[in-house]
Amino acid sequence: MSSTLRKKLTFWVNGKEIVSEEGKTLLCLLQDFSIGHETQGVAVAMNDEVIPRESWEKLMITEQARIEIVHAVQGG
Amino acid sequence: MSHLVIAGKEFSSRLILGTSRYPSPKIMLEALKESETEMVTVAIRRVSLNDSSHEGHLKLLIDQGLKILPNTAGCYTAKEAILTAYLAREALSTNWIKLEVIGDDETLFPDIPELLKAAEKLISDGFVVLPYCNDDPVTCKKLADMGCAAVMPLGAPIGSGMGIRNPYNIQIIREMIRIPVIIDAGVGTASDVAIAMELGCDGVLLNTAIAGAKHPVVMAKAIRLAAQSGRLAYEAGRIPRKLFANASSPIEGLVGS
Repeated sequence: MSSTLRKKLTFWVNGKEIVSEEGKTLLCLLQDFSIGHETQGVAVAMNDEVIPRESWEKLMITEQARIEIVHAVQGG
Repeated sequence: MSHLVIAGKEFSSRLILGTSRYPSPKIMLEALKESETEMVTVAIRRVSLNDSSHEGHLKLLIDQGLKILPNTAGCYTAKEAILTAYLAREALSTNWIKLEVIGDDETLFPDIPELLKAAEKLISDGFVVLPYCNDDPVTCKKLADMGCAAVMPLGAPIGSGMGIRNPYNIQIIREMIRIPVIIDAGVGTASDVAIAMELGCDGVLLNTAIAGAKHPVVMAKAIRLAAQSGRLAYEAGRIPRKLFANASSPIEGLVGS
């Protein structure tokens, strides 16, 4: 019975734990937060490595991945 | 009046302005316009996962034709600062970075060993590095020798408004270093900017002095004029200081002589 269930994937986005179905791409995740290729001024890192925009679609999120999604804010 | 040149890019304004702490975006834009700055700083922060507007005020700044200078404010290690710089480069398509590595959260003084480490790595990765540093000539020399595009010694602690606390060090830094010297932090009012420029600094980076003023737009104008007059005074070459008087009027032909 358990073999028919899809495995769950646990990872962290901006410090928040997320449990999702296995096989999720980075772009899929970003779209959950209304971020797409066309969104300007946003950058993403997974496990301390910046993921270029063109790789969002292909990159699969790994178990326990630490994902940072950032943008520019007013600063000094 | 000569222009400011950083990494081959020419700026007619010698002011770099922060974009934080303004009473409103409208006042920020008016103050930036009044200051005539051409480059503004932004910080890199996590997006709010519950908010779908991710472009924030960035578009407002880009629409004004301003060059965006991301910072690594809030980073306490070289590792954090390097990752933030990479993220900034990806998010904003710029290889310019105002490099801050903070060593202490009360004074916000820089952590120099971590700063040097981060600067070296980012320069080797092709960044134009503008480091916020101490008003220490030796540190500034190291940063310049390493290949930083400018050095940005603090005048006083960030946001303190205490002005240029060690003008002699700033003068030594100016004498020792050929790349632009930009005072970053400590400015409280227009005269602080004039002093920085008269000491021979190439520019001033400030935020709170304008954003926190009672009338930010008026202060932006005062600071623009101070930067211009300070620079002109520097280029004009001030008279040397003397302890005793030296009469301006001729001493020949005095009445009764």
